[in-house]
Formats: sequence, structure tokens, C-alpha cells
Amino acid sequence: MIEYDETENKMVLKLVYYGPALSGKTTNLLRLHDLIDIEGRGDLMMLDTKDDRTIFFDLLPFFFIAPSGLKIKVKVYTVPGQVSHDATRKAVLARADGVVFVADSQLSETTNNFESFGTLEKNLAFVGIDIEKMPLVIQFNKRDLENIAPEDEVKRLWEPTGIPVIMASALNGAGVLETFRSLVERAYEYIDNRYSLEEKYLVTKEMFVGRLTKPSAETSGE
Amino acid sequence: MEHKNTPSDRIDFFVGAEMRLDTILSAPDVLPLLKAIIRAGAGFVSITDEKGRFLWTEGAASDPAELQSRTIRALEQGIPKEPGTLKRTDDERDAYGLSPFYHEGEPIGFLFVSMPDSLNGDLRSGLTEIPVASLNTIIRNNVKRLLTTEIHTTVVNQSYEELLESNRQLSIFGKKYKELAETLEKRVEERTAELKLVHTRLLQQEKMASIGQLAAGVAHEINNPIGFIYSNLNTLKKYTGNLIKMLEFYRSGMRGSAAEPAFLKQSEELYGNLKVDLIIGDIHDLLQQSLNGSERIKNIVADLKGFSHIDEAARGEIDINAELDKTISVLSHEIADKAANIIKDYGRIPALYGNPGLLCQVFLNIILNALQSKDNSPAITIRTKQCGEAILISIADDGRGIPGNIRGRIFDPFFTTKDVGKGMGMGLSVAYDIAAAHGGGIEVKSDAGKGSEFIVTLPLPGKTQLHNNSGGE
Repeated sequence: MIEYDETENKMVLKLVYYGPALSGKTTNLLRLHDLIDIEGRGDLMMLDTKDDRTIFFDLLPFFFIAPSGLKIKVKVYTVPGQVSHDATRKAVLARADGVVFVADSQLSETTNNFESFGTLEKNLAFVGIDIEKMPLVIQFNKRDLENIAPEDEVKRLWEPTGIPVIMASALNGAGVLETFRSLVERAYEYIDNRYSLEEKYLVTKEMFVGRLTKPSAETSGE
Repeated sequence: MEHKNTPSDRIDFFVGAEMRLDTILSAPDVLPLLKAIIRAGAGFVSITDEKGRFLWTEGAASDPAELQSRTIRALEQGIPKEPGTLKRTDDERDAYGLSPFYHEGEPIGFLFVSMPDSLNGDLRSGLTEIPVASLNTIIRNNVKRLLTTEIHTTVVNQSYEELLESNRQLSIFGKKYKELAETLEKRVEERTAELKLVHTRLLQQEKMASIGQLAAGVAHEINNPIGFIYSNLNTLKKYTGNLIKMLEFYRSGMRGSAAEPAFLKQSEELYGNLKVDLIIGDIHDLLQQSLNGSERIKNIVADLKGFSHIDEAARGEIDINAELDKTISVLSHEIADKAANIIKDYGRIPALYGNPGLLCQVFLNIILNALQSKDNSPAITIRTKQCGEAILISIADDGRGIPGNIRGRIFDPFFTTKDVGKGMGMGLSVAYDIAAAHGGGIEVKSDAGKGSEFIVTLPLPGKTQLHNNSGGE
């Protein structure tokens, strides 16, 4: 959690899209920005990119006002995927309340996926977060491409871990909202456990998830 | 979820901290903008924080504090979505515009402008829209700069720290390698010299051992013939005595007999010619000398055998006093040559476990040196005594003594003061090694001109195990 100010009646949460370079983290945020109703979100801020690759991070803020008046701001970040930006990844992961791991489905990227997941475990530990407890969703992106890991194999590999695995094609928007919803649901439970969102602030899961993932008018029905 | 301090505490910075307007904007960012608004015709202008508090102002107002509290109250009612107008009091001529600008999708501050009615509508909206658009841009860019700079600084600092650390490690390794490289040659040389010494010492020990074996073998071979030579000489002495007695009996009997005078005369002539008198006088001495000689040979052989301990097990209980006597006996020739005076002062000492042959070598080498310490009639005092859990054997001479400058080197192999060909310089070195192999040692006290004393210390059994490498046999 970034901030919890009871006198200001404000809570700031952080969700992070993590994954190897070029797996589609920024594309996920771009599509989310398009898909989510403007009432619930701010503008996408993309920090200096070079050759269309994130070297700092992207940020998409979401807002929610509880019936009690508590303002919840959810900042969704991407991390730079390149190995060389490990320090930035640590700074972005610090105080995170949930992580989407965006894996590249292409068979050629299997090793990179595993290596990147290794750095996620390592960096979470480094910033003092228990990966077992932290809300985590895995997205297998680029399902629209050839030579990708078969879905049943991916599921067989990951299902025993209990981590939800979602197939996506961020470029055309498929699976993007589902991934986000899955993470927001888990993040809600994670926060509710500690801060009694429902009891203290009358925030139900349906309310919270519904508001944060409400599709915009043009895309509703998708 | 809460931020915990990491073990290394290196991530005190995290991305996403909430920022307030006064950290994003600074006076140089906004003041030119506010001044321009006044020049364009506005009466008073201010940039407020998200609650309506005036952060920066420009222009004149009759009561700015009152304007601020009115703004704060208005914002408590709700945030104007579009440039809103603050209600003016009846006596006020100016209209008040209040426009939000955003950061991360939230209003982070407002532009407050008071505009005279005289300005036309387009100019009025321009006076708010243009600065708000600029402020949004400035905020966005400042935020990007802040975040990127912060991250960049963090990364640079972190990398710098890592580099410092690895540099520290490298310099430690570098130093080690440098030292190693510098001393390597020296150490190789030292080691080579050491190995050479050990090798030579081994050769020497082997040589001495084989000489000892040869001597013992020769002694063993001589033992039997000298045994019967000695015994036969004794018998011969007895027989000749008998023969002489018989001859004298005949001779005296013949003188008074009625034998032919011619025969008598002839036998007396022969007796004289053959110098029988002389023979009878000499034969005893000859035999006695031969007996003495062969007895000496017998003794030497016995000592040599005992000294080399060819007939005994390599190790066992040793009577040090007896071994000293054996050694002195072996050296009897040298002792006689030098007319040395050996003074024995043996104490009552318990038996010691060890290798008698090797220990004799220690005593031999030290006594030999003592004999050579003086040109004529050296006095050598040999003392033994028990001292605690050890036996002390002191061999002192009254010779030249050892000069202080070489005292530290006398146990070094090949160190010798003797002329070339007179000594190898191995004696004391070997003695020292043997004493050490028995768990003991050799000390030396010396006064130049007054003599030297060598004290061999040997621990008693049960206290120190005999080293296994006491080899050289």
C-alpha cells in the first residue's frame, strides 16, 4: 500500500504489471485505458520510452469513492522488462498490493518467462513482500501468434500452484479486462483482510470490482 | 502490504508516492504565467492547492485572505468540472474564475482569476483556459522529470554502491594476487632450498647409516676370528711357558751329566747362535702384547657392535649412562690421542624409550666436537640427571667456545668451522634432528674462550610420544 491516511480519508493502492521485455505490459495498460469507463480512471501516463520500450514505467490511475466517503486511488504500473532495469523494477514493486505477471506465450520466450518470474520472486523478497500472500495473476499473452505454448500445457503447469492463469491477446484487447478483474478481486480480499473495507467503509467486493472494471460506454458488452 | 524495511534497507525509495502541488511546481514555473495574466487585464490571480489555499499570487485584491477563505468554502461544496465562477458580493465589480488542473486524474490545484467586467467573454475564457492548459503541461512534465530523475538517481546510487562494493572486493583480490606474485618467486626459492637441504640430509643419513651397517657387518665378521685368535694366543702362551720350562730342565740336567763334552759344547754353541736366551726373554712379551692387541680388537668389535646395535631392536628401553660409556669407549682412541680428561658425573636416571643407536650418534657428535674444542688435553665433563619429566645430558668442554655470531647457526646443516675436507657440517644438525625426533632438544651455552656446554633434553616415556620419523637407520 502506498498510503493510508485516515484523517484525509484516503487510501492509495498499487498494482503492478510485471513480466519479461516485450511481453505486452504497456499494451495491457493501453487497452485497459481504452476499455474502462473514464469516470473510474485517470489518464495513462507513459514515462519516457525509447524505441517503444518502457525504460521507466507507465501509470494508469483508478478512483473509487466508498459510501463512507473513503477515497481509494488505485495506481496501476508497468515495470520495464529488460534485465538491465532491475533497480527500477524493485522501486516499482515496493509497496505493491498485487501483481499481474504477463508472460509471452511464444515457445521461444519460455526461458525469458522463467527468468523474469525468478526476478519477480527475488525482487518481491527484496522489498519485503511475501509472494505466497500477495495477490498474483498470470497472463499468457500473445495467444494470437503462431508457435505458442499450448493452452492445456500451460494450465497443467500452472494450475497446481493455485495462481489464476488467463489467456490473452492484449493487442486486440482479449483477456485484458479479465486479467485486471481477476487481480482487482484478489487485491480487494487482500486489503479487506487487513483494513476491513466492507465492515468499516461499507465497500463490498462487487462495488469495488464493479467500479474499477466498469467498461466504457463504447466498449460495454464486450 | 505495508512497507517493511528490507534487510539491506536499500529500497527506501518507491515509485508511486502521492505528490502535492507545491512539490511539483515551483515559483519560477508559475510566476511568469501569473504576471502575464495580470498584464492581459486580470486584477488578481492565484494558484491554489487542491483545497483552495493560495500558494502563489499576483496582482492586487482588496482582501486576498477573504478571497482565499471564500475559495476554500466553495471547493468544500464541490469541485467545478469546467472553469467555474465564484459568486461575487454585491459591491464587487470583478468576476472570479476557478479552474482545476490535474495530476494522475485528480484535481491537484486551481487557478483563481479575478477579472473586471470590462473584459470581453472570449478574453476572459482565454485568461483561464490558456494558463490551465499550460499548467497541466508543466505539471505533467515536472512529474515525469521528478519521477525519472528520482529513479535515475536511485539506480545510479545503487549501481554506484554496487560498483564500490565490487571494486572493494576486486582491490582486495588484486592486492592478494599482487602479494602472491611478488612473493611467489621468493617462496619457490625458499622451498627449493629447503627441499635441497632435506634431500641432502636424507642422503647423508643414508650414507651414515650404511657406513654404520658396514662397520657393524665388519665387526661381526671379525668377532669370530678374533675370538679364536685371542683364545689360541692364551693357550699358546701357556704352551710356550711349558716348553721353556722343559728346555731349561734339560739344559740344567745336561750340564752336570756325563754326556760327551763335544755334544755339550756343540749344544751350547747352538743355544748361543740361536739366541735362545733372547727368545725366552722376548717370547712372553710378544705373546702378551699380541694378547693385549687382540683383546683390544675384541673390545672394539664388541663396542662397535653394541654401538650400531645391529643385534638389537631399533627401539627400546635405554640406559643413557651405559650408552654414554659405550660412546666414550668407541672414541677411546681419539680421547687417548688428545690426552683428554673425561669427567663422568652420572646421576641416577630412569630408563628412556627410544632408539639407542641414534642417541649414541647424538652423544658421539657432541663429544667429538668437545674433543676438537681444544688442541691439547681438553677436560670434558659429562653429566646426566633427571629434571622433572625429562632427562638432561650435559656435555661440557673447556675449549675455545663458540663465537656469538655463529651460535645461531651451529645446528644448520652444512655449517662448519672446520677446514675443507675435515667436516661436513652435518654432525650437530643430525644430532638436533635426532633429539627432536625423540621429543627433546639440544641447547647450547657457550662463553668464547671458556668452553661450551651442550645440554640434550629427552622427555621420559609416557610424556611425549616418540616421533615416528626418527628414521635414518
